[in-house]
Amino acid sequence: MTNVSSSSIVNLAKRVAAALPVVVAALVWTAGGLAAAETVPATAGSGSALFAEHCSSCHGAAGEGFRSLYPPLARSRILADEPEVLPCIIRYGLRGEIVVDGRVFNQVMPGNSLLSAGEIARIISHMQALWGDENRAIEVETWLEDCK
Amino acid sequence: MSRPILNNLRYKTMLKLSHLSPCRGVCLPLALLFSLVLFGCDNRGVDDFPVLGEVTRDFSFVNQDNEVVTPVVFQDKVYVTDFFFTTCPSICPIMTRQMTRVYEAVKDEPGVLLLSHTIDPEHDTVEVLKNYADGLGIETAKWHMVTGPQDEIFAMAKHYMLAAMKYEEAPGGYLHSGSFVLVDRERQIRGYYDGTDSEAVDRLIEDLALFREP
Repeated sequence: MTNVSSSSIVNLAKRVAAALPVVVAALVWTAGGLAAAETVPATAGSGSALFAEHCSSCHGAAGEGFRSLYPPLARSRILADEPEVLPCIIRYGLRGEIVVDGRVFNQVMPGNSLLSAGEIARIISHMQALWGDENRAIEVETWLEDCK
Repeated sequence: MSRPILNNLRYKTMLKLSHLSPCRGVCLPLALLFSLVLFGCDNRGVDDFPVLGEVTRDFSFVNQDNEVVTPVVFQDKVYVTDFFFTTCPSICPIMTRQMTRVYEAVKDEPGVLLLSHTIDPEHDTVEVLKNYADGLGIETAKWHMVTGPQDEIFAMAKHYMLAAMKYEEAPGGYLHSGSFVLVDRERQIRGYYDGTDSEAVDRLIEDLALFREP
């Protein structure tokens, strides 16, 4: 019995030892997966991906803006007070003096004429979730009708 | 058969090493290696940078303060130059951010200047460039943003071996290089750096420290 039992223990130990690399690999894979989840690029076409592609090079990845050249989006009152003007700004651009977060900006923002209404909606939704009110209704197609 | 011999050799080698003082056997090679790593880079001089081209072409542009800018402005100066336009929706905002880092690094260095050319002079008039420079909060004497005839600007880009051209399908209507070019006091091109890559611009800032010394 003792012999059987010790051979079982040896076998078990061998199995554990054999399985160890797999377990370690699984842990590494899981940890890698968790780490990757934080850095994985946003799904193509998602609000965050569209923001990264069309907005962040000027306004910054965190919407922080840049000097008195590119206004911040993170503290823009437009998100809270008048999001209905955003689709026209995103599609057709903006020129002239504006005040954002108490500072004056006066540059030309180029329009993004190739963005669809759906894409604009996803960008606005992304910005609202980060810096505004994510429960706010977004009616891009209606708002686009009022562009001047 | 070979394994015992090898093991024997290793053993003998270990024995021999053990007779040496640690600094002769281990520390000395390590110290040499560390010296190479630590001081090899610091010993870099401007002679280690090959001459990649010479700026022989004359130019006359106008900067954001409506001043004429010619090669005379850069006489006995090291300068960094690039090509951009103010309404560029793609790489220019990133280039501008990076060039602003260079500006901050050299703004108190009288021997270094920056020169940015607009490739869209039709839109980027002196007033527009002035407004753009004001938005950045930069000093004209340090960072010249120039405009002029578009064919002259394109020719100058080509002279620096950079691409700049109209291209309807590109965002903003132009295709252009995002490189920053380092030009020394003798008007020789000594480096190209990706102006959209902060690590490349880190290197540019380090290299400028070498070139700015008389």
